[in-house]
Amino acid sequence: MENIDLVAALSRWIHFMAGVMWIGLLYYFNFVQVAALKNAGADGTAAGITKHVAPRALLFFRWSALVTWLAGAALLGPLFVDAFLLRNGMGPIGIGAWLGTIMLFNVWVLIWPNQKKILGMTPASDDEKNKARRIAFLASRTNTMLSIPMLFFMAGGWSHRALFGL
Amino acid sequence: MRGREIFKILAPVYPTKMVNNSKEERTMKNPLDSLWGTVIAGVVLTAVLYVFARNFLG
Repeated sequence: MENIDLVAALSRWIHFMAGVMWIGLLYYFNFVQVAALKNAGADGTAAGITKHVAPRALLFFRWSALVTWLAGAALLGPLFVDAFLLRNGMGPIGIGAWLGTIMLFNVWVLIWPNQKKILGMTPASDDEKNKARRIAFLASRTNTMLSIPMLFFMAGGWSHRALFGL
Repeated sequence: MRGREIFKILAPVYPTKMVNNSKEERTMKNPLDSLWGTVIAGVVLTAVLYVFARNFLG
């Protein structure tokens, strides 16, 4: 086995595992935790989630996002530039790569810094917390929306080629 | 599914309160405020990008 095959195989494996963790936690936040926090706030049990669940989930969320992107870049290897320039037959996977990159930006630049304010990891006034809550929420929802086409273009295989011509 | 329920689901994407002319009522809702709106927006974006990929990428 050549070294490049080994790198590609390992990168694909890690890309998938980290990607499952990233998008799984993204869907947990959006489909489960947002609604659960609303109900927990009403009966005074929200601290259980904000103190013990959310920080841990965010830790794995942001680092798995980075690992997913890096492993994806390693998997693309010499085709990295072609993918991001949507050329030489790399258009569909390139669209997925762009969407994943925007999502990674949202995680590290919008979601995480604002979540730190919401969870009290960095000092913030009530007004700043409310603003941070809205920004983090919309960035997280944006990532959920982007994950749908991202997975469509990333998961292209023989069925996509047969059915969609991609 | 009853008629009223489908309007509830689609409300963030297709505001139905256009009859009232007050400024507050005419404000369009953000589809990302609702989970269904988010999913529908994601599917629509997928279709748009698919058409782009089929027609404009080699």
